[in-house]
Amino acid sequence: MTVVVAVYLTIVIANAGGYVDKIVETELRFNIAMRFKDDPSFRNLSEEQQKELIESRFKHEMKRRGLDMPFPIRSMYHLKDAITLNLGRAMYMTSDGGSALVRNIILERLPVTIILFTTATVVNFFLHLFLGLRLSRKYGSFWDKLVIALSPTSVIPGWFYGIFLIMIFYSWLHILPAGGLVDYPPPSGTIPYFLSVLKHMILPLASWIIASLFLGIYQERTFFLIYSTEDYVEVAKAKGLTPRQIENRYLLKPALPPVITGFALSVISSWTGAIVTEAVFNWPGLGQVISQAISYFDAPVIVGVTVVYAYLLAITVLALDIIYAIVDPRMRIQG
Amino acid sequence: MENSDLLKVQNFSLSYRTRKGDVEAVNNISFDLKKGETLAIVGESGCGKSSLARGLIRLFPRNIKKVEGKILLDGKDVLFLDEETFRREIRWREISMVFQGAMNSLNPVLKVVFQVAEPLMVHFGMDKESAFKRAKEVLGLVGISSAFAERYPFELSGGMKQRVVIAMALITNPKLVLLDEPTSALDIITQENIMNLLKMLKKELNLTYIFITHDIALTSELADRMAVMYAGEIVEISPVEDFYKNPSHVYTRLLLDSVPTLRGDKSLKSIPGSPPSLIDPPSGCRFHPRCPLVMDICKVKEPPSYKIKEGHFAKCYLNEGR
Amino acid sequence: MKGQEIISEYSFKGILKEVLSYKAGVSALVILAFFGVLIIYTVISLPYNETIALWNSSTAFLKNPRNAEPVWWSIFTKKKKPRNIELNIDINGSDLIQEGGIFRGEVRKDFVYNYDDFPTEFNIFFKANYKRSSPIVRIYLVRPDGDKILLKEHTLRSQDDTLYLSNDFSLENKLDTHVRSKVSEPIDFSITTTRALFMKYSSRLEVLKGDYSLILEAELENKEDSLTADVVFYGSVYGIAGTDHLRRPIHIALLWGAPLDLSFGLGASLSITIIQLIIATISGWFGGLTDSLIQRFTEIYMVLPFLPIMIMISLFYKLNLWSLLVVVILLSVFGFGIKTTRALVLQVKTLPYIESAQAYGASSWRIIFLYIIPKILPPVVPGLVASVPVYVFLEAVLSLFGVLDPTQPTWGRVIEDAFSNGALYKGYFYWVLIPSFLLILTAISFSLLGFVLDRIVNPKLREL
Repeated sequence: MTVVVAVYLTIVIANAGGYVDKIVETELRFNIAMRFKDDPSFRNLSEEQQKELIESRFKHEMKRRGLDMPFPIRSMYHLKDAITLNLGRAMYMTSDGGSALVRNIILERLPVTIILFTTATVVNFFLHLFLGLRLSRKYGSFWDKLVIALSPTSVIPGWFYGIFLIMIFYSWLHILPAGGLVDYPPPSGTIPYFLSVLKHMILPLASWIIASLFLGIYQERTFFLIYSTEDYVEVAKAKGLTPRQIENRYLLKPALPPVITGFALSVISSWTGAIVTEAVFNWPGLGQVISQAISYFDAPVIVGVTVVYAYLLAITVLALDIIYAIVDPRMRIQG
Repeated sequence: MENSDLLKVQNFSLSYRTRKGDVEAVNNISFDLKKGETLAIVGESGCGKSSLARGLIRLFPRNIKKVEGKILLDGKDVLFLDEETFRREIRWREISMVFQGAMNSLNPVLKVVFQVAEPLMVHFGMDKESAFKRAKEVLGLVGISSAFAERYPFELSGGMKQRVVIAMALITNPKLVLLDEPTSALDIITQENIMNLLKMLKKELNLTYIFITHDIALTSELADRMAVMYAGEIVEISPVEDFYKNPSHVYTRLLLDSVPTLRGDKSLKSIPGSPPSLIDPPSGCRFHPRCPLVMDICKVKEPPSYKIKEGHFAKCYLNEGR
Repeated sequence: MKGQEIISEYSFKGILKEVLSYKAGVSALVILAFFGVLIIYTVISLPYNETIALWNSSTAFLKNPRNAEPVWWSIFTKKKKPRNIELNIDINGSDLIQEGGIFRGEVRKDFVYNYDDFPTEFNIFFKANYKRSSPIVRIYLVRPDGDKILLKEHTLRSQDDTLYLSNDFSLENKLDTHVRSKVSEPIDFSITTTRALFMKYSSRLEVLKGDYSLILEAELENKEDSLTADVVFYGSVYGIAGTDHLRRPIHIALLWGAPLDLSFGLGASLSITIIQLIIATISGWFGGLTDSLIQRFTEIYMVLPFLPIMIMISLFYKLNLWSLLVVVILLSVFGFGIKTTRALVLQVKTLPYIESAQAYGASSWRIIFLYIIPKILPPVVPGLVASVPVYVFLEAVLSLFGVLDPTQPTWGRVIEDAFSNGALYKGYFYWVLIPSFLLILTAISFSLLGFVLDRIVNPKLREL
C-alpha cells in the first residue's frame, strides 16, 4: 500500500511539469507509427494523409486509454503503468543491449549498483557491529576515546571522501583507476575480468567504509553500552554466564530488531547515496543512468529511475517487516 | 564471633566516579550472617542498599572507582577473587539474587524455562533436557505451571514474572539469596503472595536471605535481624524484636514513626529534609543535618558503633554511657 | 528515557558555559565564529547583486591568468612562480612629437623579471581615442642581455583592440627563427612566444632573470588623439584561492559561498526541524485519526526516493538556491524526525503540569505552543545543529549534478566547475581542495557542536 502511494506521489511530482503525460504520448505515437510502417497500403498514401491518419489514430488511442481525462483520473493510468514497470521509451539513451525501453536500461544497470553498494553496506554493517561490540567492552580505553573523537568525521559523505581518494590514488600515486567498472578494453577471461572489477571497486568501497567507520562504530558501541545496562544483562552476569554467552544471548539477541532496522536504514540510504558516488567514480550503475539522463535531459529515464528507486525503498521496508517478525517473538506472537 | 557465620562483611566500601565528583555509595560497612538467618536492610531510596547488594555479588557499574574491605563467604575472601573463578564458583552457585523490578530482569527474547534452567547448564554442565525438567519442577514450586514455562516473559503477568525470577534464584540451591526489593513493582495483593512464598521457601529449603527494602512493614514477617542504612552506612543493626522495641538511633526511631501500624493511634510523622548527596556527605554523623536531637559533637566527629547488647549496635552519640 | 529527564531547564548562558567546558565545543565555536566574521566581511565588502553580475560577466576578468594557483600554493612546489605583470602605458598630447604630418609618441616601461617560470600568456589591451584614422603601434621588448626585439607593428582595428600576442603564430614563428639564430646548438623543446622572450639563449630551457623594458611607439594622426595600452604578462599564481577556467578569482565564489551555503543549510534544517516539531506535537497531542493519518503519511514519505526526486525537480524546473530550499523543506517535513519527536510528546503529555493546564481550561493550541513545544525543544536542538551539514552537502550534490542555477557561486558549484573542467586530471588540486576544505570545516564544526549539545541535553550519554 505504502509502495503504491509513494509511487503515485512520485508520478504526481514529476507530472507537475507535464513530463509524464509527454512520455506516455510519445510512446503511444511511436507505437502507432511503427504499426503503420509495416502496412503496405499505408505506404501508398501521401505524407499528408499518413500524418493525418496517425494523428486520428493517436487521438483514438488516447481516448481508448482514458488519457484525455482530467489529471486525477489520468494519473491512475500512469500509476498502473509505473506499478507494472511499464516505464516508456527513452528519448535518447539506449541500454548496452540496444533497447530504448527505460525498463531495460534500468534493469541492465541495477545489478551493477547492487554489487558495489550491497557489498559496501554489508561490509560496513559487520565492521561496525563487531568493532562496536568489542569497543563497548573496552569502555574508556584509548581506542574508545579515539573513535569518539573521530566520529564527527562521518558527517562528510562517502562521495566526498571519494574525491580525495581519487586525488591521492589516481592523480598523485597513479596506482588505482579513477573510476569505471573494468579496464578498457575489458580483459578477456572470467578471472582477469573479475579481478579488474575488483580493482575498480577498491576506491568506491574504501570511500564508503571511511565515511561511516567511526560514527558507525561509535553508534554501535553506545547502543551496546546502553543495552548492557538493561537489568537482564546484569542478571545474566550475576548468574555467572561467560562474557561470550552474555553477548550472544543477552546483548545481540534482544538487540537484533533495532540492529536490523539500522541495517535496513543504511540499505535505504545506500540506494540514494549510490547516485552521487557512482557519478564521482563513473560506476555504470543506476545512479550513473541518472547523471547521463540529466546530461541528455532524458525525462522518461529520470522519471523511470525515480519510480524504480521508490520501489527499491518500499521493498526494503517490506523486507524489514518480515525479518522483524522472524527475529522478535513479541512481534511473532502478538502479530 | 563463631565460625558458623555464612557471610562476614568487613569494612566494605564502594565509590563511583561521576562528572560531578566521586560518589561514596557504600562506606565502611561490616556485618555478619548465620546460615538460615534473614537480614533485612532498610533505608530510604538512594542510601546505598542496592549498591551494597550488587557489591556482594560483585556487579560493579562501569564507573566504579574504589572497592575496599573483605567479604568472607564460609571463611574465604571472595571480594578479590579473580573474575573468572568468582564467576565459575561463586555466582549463582553460592550467591544468587532476585533483582529489583522483575519486569526487566528477564530477557524478552528467551523462553522463561530456558532462563530458569540456564544456570544449571552453565555451572553444572547439565544437558538441556534434564535442566528444563528441573527448572519446571522449581517453577512448579513457586506456583508456575509448566504450560507457562514454555512462554516468553511478555506473556506473563507481573506477579508471575516475579515468581519466575525467584525460581531462577533458587534453581542451584545457593547458600545465600539476595532479595533486592523483590516486591517493589507489584500491587499489594501480589506483594503479599510473593512474601508468603518467600517465607514458605525459607522454611522448606532453610534458605539464607539478605532482604533489601525501603518498606519496613514488609520486613516483620521475614527478617530475623534488621540493619538500617543511611547515606551509605549501616547506622543500626539489631535483632528484629529490638528494632521495634528499642530503636537506638534517632534515624531508626523516626523511620519507625513514619510507618503506619494497624494498632496504636500514633500520628504518622515524616522525616524532614532529604537524604544527603553522597558526593560530599556531611561531616561527623551523616544524619546530623536532619536530626532533631543534634548535638555539637555530631557535627564534627563520626560516632563510633555503640554496643547496646549482644548483636545490637548503633552509631549514635545518644547511646553514650547508656 | 523517562519523563523527568527532559524537564531540566536551560538558559542560553548556561548552555554556552557547558558547551565551552568541552574542547570539541570550543573548537566548534571558534570555527563558526571565523565563518561569522567571514560572512559579515563578505556581505559588506562584496554587495550581492554586483558580485553575482561580476561573477557571471565574460569580460571582467580578462586580465587575470587562467587556472592560476593560489599565491601561497608554491609552498608545496618550492618554485617561484610568476605573478601577473601589468604595465599601464598612456600616450597623449604632452608626450607627442610632431614628425611631418603625424604625431609620434614613445613610452618605455621597465620591469624586473626574476621568477623561476615563464609567463603563461602575453596580451596587450589598447584603448584609443582618435578622429579619423586609427593609430599605428610598434611594440619592442628589451632584454637584460641587450637584445631588442620588435614584437609587432600593428594598426588598431577599433577604439578597443586587443593583441593576443602569445597566441600570434606569425610572431611565434618569427621569434623561433630569431632564437635559433642566436643559439648554435640544436634546441629540442618547442619555442613559444613567452619562452622566446624570457629565456636564456641556450639549448637548455631557463628563465633569463633581470631588468626588462617594454617600449611602445605610437603614431597618431592628431595631437588630440590619445592611446592607452595595458600590457599584461600573465603569471601562474593569483590571489588567495587562484582562478578558474574563466579567469575568475575563485575566492569571490568561496567568500559568497559561505553565506549562501550556510544560510541554505541553516534555513533547511531550522525550518524542517520546526515544522516537524509542530506536526509531531499535533500528531501526539490530538491522537486518534489525526495521529494515524500523520503517521501513515510519514511512512509514505519515508519511502519516497529523496535524492532522485530532488534531482528530477531541480532539472525540470531549473531551481535556484532559494526555490531549492523550499522544495527541500516540502520534501522533508514528514521525515523520520516526526516519529522520534512524537514519542517525546507522548511522554511529555502525561506530565502533571500539562494536565493542570488542561484542567484550568487552556486550549489545545495554547498547550501545544506554550507548554509542549518549549519542553521538547532541548532534545531536538542537537539534531538540528548536526543536520546543517547534511543540507550543505545536499546543495553540493545537486551542484555536482549540474542541475542547479549555475549563476550562484556556492562551494558545491566551484567543485563542480573544477570537476567538469578536469581539475583532478590536470592537477589543479587547489580548485577542489580549497572549497572542499571549507565544506569539511563547516561540516565538522556543526557536527562537533551537535555532538556536544547532545551530551548536554542527554545526561544519559555523558557517562557513555
